[in-house]
Amino acid sequence: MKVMLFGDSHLAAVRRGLAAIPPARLDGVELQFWGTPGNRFRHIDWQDGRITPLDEATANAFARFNGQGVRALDPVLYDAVVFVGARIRPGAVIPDLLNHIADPDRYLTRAYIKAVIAAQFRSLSTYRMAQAMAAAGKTRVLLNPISLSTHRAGAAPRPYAMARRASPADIALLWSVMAEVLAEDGIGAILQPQDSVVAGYLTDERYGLPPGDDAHKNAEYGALILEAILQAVQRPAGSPVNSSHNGSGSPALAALSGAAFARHRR
Amino acid sequence: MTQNPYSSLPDSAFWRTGAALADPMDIRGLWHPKADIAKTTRIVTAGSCFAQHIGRAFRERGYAWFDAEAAPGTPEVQRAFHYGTFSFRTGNIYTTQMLLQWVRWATGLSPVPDLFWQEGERFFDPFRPAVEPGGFASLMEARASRQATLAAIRQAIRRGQLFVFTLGLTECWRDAETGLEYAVCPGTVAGRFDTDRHRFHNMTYPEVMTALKKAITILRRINRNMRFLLTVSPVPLTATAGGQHVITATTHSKSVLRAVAGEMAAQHDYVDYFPSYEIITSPVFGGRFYAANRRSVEPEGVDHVMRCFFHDLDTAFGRVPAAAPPRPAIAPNAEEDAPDPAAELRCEEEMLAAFQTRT
Repeated sequence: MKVMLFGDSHLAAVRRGLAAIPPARLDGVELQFWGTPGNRFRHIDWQDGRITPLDEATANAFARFNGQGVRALDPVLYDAVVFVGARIRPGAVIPDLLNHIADPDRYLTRAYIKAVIAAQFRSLSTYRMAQAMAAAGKTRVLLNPISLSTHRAGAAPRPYAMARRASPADIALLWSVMAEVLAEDGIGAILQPQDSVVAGYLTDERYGLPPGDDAHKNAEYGALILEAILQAVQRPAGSPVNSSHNGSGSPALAALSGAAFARHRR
Repeated sequence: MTQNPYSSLPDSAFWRTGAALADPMDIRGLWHPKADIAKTTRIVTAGSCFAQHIGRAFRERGYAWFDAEAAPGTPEVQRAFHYGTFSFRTGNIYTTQMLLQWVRWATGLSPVPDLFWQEGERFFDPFRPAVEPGGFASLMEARASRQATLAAIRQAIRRGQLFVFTLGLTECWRDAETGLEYAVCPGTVAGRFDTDRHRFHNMTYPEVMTALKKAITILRRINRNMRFLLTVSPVPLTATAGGQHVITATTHSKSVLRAVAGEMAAQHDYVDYFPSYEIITSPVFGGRFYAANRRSVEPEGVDHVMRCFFHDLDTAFGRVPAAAPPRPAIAPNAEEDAPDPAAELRCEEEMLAAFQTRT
């Protein structure tokens, strides 16, 4: 099985995490990386059923990190393509959503939450490439969006007082909505492990890099994501993905309990 | 010729000089504001659909329009779900009785009715049936959402400093049993019409006045510094159920509302009236601000109303009238179009380190 991991600098954690995966776990799986730092993502496009660099410099940058000279991503060549990071940052809306969801005086319907997340994802060119690739039906498409900012790293994040009080059920609600949006677009979800979220809307500092970089994550985090990817691709296409792997191993929806479940159940 | 009370009046007091001979677009001074509105004044807007334009104009000019029920998401998503249209997510409040109803519920003076309409598996709030596209997914969701709106109204009452209310209609539909007023006729936007239960009512001048007075009294009891600015929607009725022609029904309805607004402003120093209704409907303007359906007000009309508003406000308080702000440019996509050199350097270093590639 050939699996292409395509992404921006967030691919680095997964690449590092590879060292923690027992070789036997990779039996029958050929992993390939195709990535470049995010600034180059302005110079790629979905053309003729492939993700294609728009200039030589970008093609060279992707080929360099790939190590096998792959200059364009043709989904036909892979059993699965996993978008890792790839400029798709739920953190742009998650803290604000949680700030509302966790506030007892406010309320957002599930439909509204979904509309916010869908609008954010679908406004991003890389996400639209994932949509197009999934719609083409030549390969399985999975997405692991960028993780939330690291707790106590880098500049103090904008204070979201209510989001800090968000419960695991609130997080589970958002994760299930994210998975629903992706599923509608034919994309499998590999979401940030719910038990890696602390202080409401941040990533546990144990997964962070040294202070000063609150965006990227370490090899331990990368290994978690890689394990989730392996589980997903080794499952038959179309079978349910335990996308949020919240530590207990239960699907995101099963984790919906308590207040958030009571307020949002259909 | 002897002197008389009209001899010393300004040109604006005479139709010939104030209206007939004037360039309609240059006519100003229709409003003599009672109090200034500072950029920091927290402005609450509610009422008929025309009120949404007023809120937007305040926002575009940097005034502190108070969004008591702010929601995350793009403006397009917010608009689709009726966030950011008024200061709270009530949808249009067409009548003064409806305003009173919301105020009484929000302040605990009346119990909030547990009344919702079910259509298939979807639920609608009879008092704001259009706010959630396609209806709410569950009764619990509909209830929770209404409670959030009531909390937002309470916030607006407590923290608002100027309450702008646009009076829209006198015709309404009420529950024969409870007397509750619906936002629109049941069976139109949502719900099912029941001839035994749903009654048409055309509010009289005393009824409109009494409801408005009661609402303002409650608001001032909680927030004694709250001021009020009333306007009347220039948008004619979509339809009348009163038996008259829609044109005469519109004139009747708007006349009652205009008279109530004027009378309230005359009676109370904390209530003002801004004549957006006259600016759009006066024969001086020859209907130029109406769309082809002779009902909807074109953006040009809204812009003109707000230009007059801010001109008269600035002039009254000794400021040079500010030019209208340019239409806001489309914000670049922060994710993709705003390069951050420091972040890009970090990304580059991450990739190089992980893949051990050398340039």
